Amino acid sequence: MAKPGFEQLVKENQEPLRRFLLNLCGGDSSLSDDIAQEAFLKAYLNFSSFKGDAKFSTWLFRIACNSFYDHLRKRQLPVEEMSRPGVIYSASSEQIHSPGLRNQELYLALSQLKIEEKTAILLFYMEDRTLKEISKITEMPENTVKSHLFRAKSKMSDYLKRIGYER
Amino acid sequence: MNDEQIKKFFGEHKESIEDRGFEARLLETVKYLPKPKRAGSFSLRDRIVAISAMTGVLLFVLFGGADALVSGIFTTLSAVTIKQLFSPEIIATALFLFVLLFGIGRAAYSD
Repeated sequence: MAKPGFEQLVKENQEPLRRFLLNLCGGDSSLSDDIAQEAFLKAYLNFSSFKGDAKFSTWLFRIACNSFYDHLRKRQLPVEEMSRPGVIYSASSEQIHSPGLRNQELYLALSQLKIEEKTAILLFYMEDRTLKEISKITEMPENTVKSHLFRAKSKMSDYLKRIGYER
Repeated sequence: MNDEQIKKFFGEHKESIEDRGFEARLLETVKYLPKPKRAGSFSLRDRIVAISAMTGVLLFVLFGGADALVSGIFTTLSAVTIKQLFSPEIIATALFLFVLLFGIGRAAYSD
């Protein structure tokens, strides 16, 4: 792949990918940017293995997901621990509702979910991906994605009710 | 809480991510990377291995390697069956053969 072509792909995909990883990493922007960079470099070096049967962004997100899971395995951190923004637990409910902490509210809500559920719900609602695309990104059958999504919605719904989220 | 409210919750928390030098850092790193492999292209090492393998197979066939191999196996088997099973030569050969195969297998696996 020519470098100008790659530059264009970076321009088009860097924001959604970095946002997705940032949310997946519970707000750790330096970690999410490292993983995003790693994903782009892997995509650049292995572009010949991109078959073109899916969108480039789907392939890129799949590489990023795998890099994220590799990172968890290397650090041998329990997945729930990894995605938990510890600071948040000391914040009061008033603080959580203040505009400055709006994203902390999201990270806290996401920390209630398992990693597969979190991945599915972020891709579906935040990144507007279809079930088929999520299935390709996560390398899970569509029905499995549906069940993760269903459980994620149910847990989030319970959590948001509990904290009195009403806008 | 219904689907629409969850969608709304995510919509409200969808932030735009500032570049903060990400693109420039990434493209700077790409400058120093080797050119990506093209589909169907082979490295110099791949070519040398392929040419050596093909030459080996050709020589094996041309010089009657298959016949020599079969007769060699039969000779060895007959020598083994005729009471020389535990002779030092056979034991040493088997041992070296095992070590050789183990070494090749390990090297191939680590590659």
